[in-house]
Amino acid sequence: MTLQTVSYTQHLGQSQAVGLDFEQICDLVNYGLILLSRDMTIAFWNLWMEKHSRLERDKVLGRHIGDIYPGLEKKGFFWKAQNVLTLGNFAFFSQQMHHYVFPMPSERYLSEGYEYMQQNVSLAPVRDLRGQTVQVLVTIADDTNAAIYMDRLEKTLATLKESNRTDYLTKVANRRYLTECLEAEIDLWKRKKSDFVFIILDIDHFKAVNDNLGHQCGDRVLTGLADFLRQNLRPYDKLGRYGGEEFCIILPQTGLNSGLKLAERLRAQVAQTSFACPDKEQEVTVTISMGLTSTENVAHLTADTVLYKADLALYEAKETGRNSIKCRL
Amino acid sequence: MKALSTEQAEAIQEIINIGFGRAASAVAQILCARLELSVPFVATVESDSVVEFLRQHFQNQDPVSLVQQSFYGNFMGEAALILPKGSSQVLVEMLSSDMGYVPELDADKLEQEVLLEIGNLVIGASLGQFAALLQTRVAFKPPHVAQEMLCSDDFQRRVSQVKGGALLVRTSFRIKEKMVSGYLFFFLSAQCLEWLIQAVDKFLEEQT
Repeated sequence: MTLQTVSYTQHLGQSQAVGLDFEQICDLVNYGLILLSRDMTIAFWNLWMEKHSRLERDKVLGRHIGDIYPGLEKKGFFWKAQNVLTLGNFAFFSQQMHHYVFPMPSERYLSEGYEYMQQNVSLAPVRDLRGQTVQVLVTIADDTNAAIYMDRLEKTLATLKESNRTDYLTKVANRRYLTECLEAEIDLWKRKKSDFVFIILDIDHFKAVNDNLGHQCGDRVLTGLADFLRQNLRPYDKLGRYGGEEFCIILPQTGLNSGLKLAERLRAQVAQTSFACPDKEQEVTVTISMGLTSTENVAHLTADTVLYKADLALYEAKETGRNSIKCRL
Repeated sequence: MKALSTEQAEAIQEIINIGFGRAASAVAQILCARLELSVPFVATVESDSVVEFLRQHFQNQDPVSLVQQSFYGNFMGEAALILPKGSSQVLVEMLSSDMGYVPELDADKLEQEVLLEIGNLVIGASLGQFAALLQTRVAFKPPHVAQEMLCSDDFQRRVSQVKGGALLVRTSFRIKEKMVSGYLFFFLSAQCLEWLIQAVDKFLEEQT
C-alpha cells in the first residue's frame, strides 16, 4: 500500500498534491503510527505497531480502533480524538498521567520494568486540500526507560528524605523533623483548637550506663527504649530523639488528663523493662524522668514556649528524685 | 530585542483578536460554555515584566496553576495559561458533568489532567486560528502543568533565565458560566518576529 499524502505550501488558496511513498519511512521510525479516519477506523498501521501490538496490519486495517483496544473509552481517547477532528488541535496523553493508552507487553529481560509498555501518546490533525481535518494521526512513543529511571529517582529521593528526618541510631524522628512536627501541630491548634500534649523524657543516670558498661550498651538502651516507646504509642503520636538521651513525644488530639495517664503508664513500664547489653551476660534496667505540658486553656502558643515549659517540668522531675513526671502549664 | 512599531503591534493585535473570536466559538462547542477572550495586549517585553504583572494580578492567590506549552512552525515560542488556585476543581466538575470526559485517574491526577486539557484546548485553538489567518500551521509539544508560587524567588529566577525578550500577547479569558478566569500569554521567539511582521503585512494587504 502506498500512503498518499499532500504537502501544503504557505498559500492555502493554492495547494499542490504530491504523491509520496511514505510507507517505508513510516516503517523505519521508532514510534507507533496509527492513522484513523473520522469514524475511528484504522487507515494505516506501521511496522512498529505491528511488532509491538502483535497484530499484523492486514488484520486491523478498516477496523474500529475501539474493537481492538476496548479500554480506550475509559482513557478518554475518543473524546480527545473528536476534539482533534472538530478543532484541528493536537491532543496528548502523558505517561505520567496515564501510564499507557494502548496495552502492549513491556518486553524487558535484563532489568525490572512494567507489565505494559509506558507510553507518551499524541494525536495530530491530518488535513485535506481544503484544510479540513479529516484524519487523526496517533503517535506512540515508548517511554518505559524514562519511567523506570523516574521511579528509581523517586525512590532515592524518598529514602533521602526519610534519612534526613530520621535519627541514625534509634530510627525515630530526628530533632529537625520533630521540630517540624511540633510546628505543624501548633498550626493545627491555631486553626482548629486541637489540643495536644508534649513530653520531654530523659533517661536517668545514663552517663553511668555508658561509663560502667560501655557505649555499646548505652546505644542498646537507647534503641531498646525507642523501640519500646514506639510500640506503646498510638500510630499518630510522634516520637523523636531530641538529643543524647532525651526523647520527645507529641500526643495529638490529647487532653491533659489523658496525656498524664499515658505518660505514667510509660514511666512505670520502662522501670520494669530490661535491656540486654551486647556481649555481656547482663541486662540493664533504667528509669526515665518526664516533663509534660499541655495546650489546654492556653491563649498563645509557640514552639519555644512548649519546649520551655516541658523542659522546666523535666528539670523539676530530676530535682525531686527522678523516675517521675512533672507538669507545667 | 527590536521593538514593534505601534502600527505593527496594532496589526498583530487585530489578527490575533479575529483568531480569538473563532477559537472561542469553536471551544464553546467542546466546553458547552462560552469562552470569552479579551482583546489582546501586544508588546515586546523582557521576562521580568511578566512576573511583575502576574504578581499584581494574582495577589493573595498563590499558588497559581500554570499550564505551559511550546509550539513551533513559522513562528515558535511558548504559551502559558494561568489560573488562580481552586480553579481545577471547578474544571473537573465541568468536564465530567457537562462533557462526559471522565478518564479513570486518581483524584489528584484528574485535576492535573483537566488543567492540561483545558490549557491544550484554549492554547491550541487560539494559536491555531491565528496561524490559519496567517496561512501557516503550528505544531504543539505536550503541555505541562505546575503549581507556582509567584512570590517565590525560584519562579522569578527561572523566568528571568529566558534571555532576549519575547513578543508578548496577553489576554484575559473567562469561561462564563463557570466563573473561571485567568490569563493567557504567548511568548513568541524574537527570531520569528521578522517572519511574523511580513505575514501580518501580507494579511492586511489581502484584506484591503
